[in-house]
Amino acid sequence: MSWRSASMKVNPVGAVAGALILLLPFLGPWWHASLGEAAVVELSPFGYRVCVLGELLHSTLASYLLLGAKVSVILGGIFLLLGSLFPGRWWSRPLVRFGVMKVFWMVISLVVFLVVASFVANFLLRSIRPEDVTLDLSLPFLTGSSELRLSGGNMSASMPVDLHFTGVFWMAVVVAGFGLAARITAGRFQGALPAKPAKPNK
Amino acid sequence: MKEGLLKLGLRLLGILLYVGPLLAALSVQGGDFMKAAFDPSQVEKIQQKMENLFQFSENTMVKENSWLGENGGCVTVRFTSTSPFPMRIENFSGWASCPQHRVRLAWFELPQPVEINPGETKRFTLTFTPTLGASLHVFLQHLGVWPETELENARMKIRMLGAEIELALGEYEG
Repeated sequence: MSWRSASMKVNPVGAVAGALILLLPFLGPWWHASLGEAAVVELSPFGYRVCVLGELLHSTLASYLLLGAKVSVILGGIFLLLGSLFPGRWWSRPLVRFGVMKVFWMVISLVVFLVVASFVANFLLRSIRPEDVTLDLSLPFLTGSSELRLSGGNMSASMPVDLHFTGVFWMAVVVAGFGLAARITAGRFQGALPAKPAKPNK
Repeated sequence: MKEGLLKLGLRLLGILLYVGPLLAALSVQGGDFMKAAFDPSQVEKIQQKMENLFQFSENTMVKENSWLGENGGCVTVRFTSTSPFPMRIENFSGWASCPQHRVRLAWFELPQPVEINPGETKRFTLTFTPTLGASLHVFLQHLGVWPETELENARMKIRMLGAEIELALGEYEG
């Protein structure tokens, strides 16, 4: 078997996407937010770290759901890799479809979640503020820096606020792109499958 | 047929990976959804820490030795941190006044920043720079004997947890 004929039996875009999807859950947070050194929030679809005044906050529900997402993506990556390495097999198409769009939807979900969370946080900061305290903070959406200024009584404080996407997020965007491309190109490689026999016309 | 079964299996697997963790989290917390979502006892710990951040009492800052003359002077302050976090006093300045006549005799300031660990007691020295009319006031009103001063309009700038905090301490008698 020549190299060319062997390579034509593999969907390279899908194989790359599958390998990258397998890496993604182990690379760390996608988004980072900090309020001075007082509070740090790190998020990804596979894990979270919320630390306020040195106390780590924990949610059993969030931990289990994110673990489920992690397992789901790892399985998706394995299935995409298998489906792309053996595009001619009957099980290739369903396996590819299972994993190919997961990262894409995770990227979209995280961005939507952060936009909604920013709206809610800005609203809460305006409405919950005690009367004798002046609070000046407008949280940036998704990414950016600002400063929290707080004054009341005989005290005033200022604290830097920083929100940013990490390099892993941008890698996830690239992986999502590969996933989309793999979905588009998958049909071309699966075209090698023998066509289903047409139903006889009565 | 086979492909249809595989599709169905994969769809069920997808659902199971979302529903399974939800049920597992609930069962771990004995079916209490709120406890599974967030345990409120964690907030109490944070509230406790926040309360300790600026819990100034009369023992937090005590003026110890003070000396002021026409060429300047200094005062030693004993500071006990109640904060659970390390802090750095960047600046501490204000006026030293004659308590009897409310005349400002000197400007005081912290010559260099002081680092204080959680719960630590530290002594630092503030330096006095006499005002222009201080010597005359002491000569006319106190027969040349410099009185024990009172610190007033003091402002302290602290850096803690990445925040810059400015405290107006007003009249401070130590």
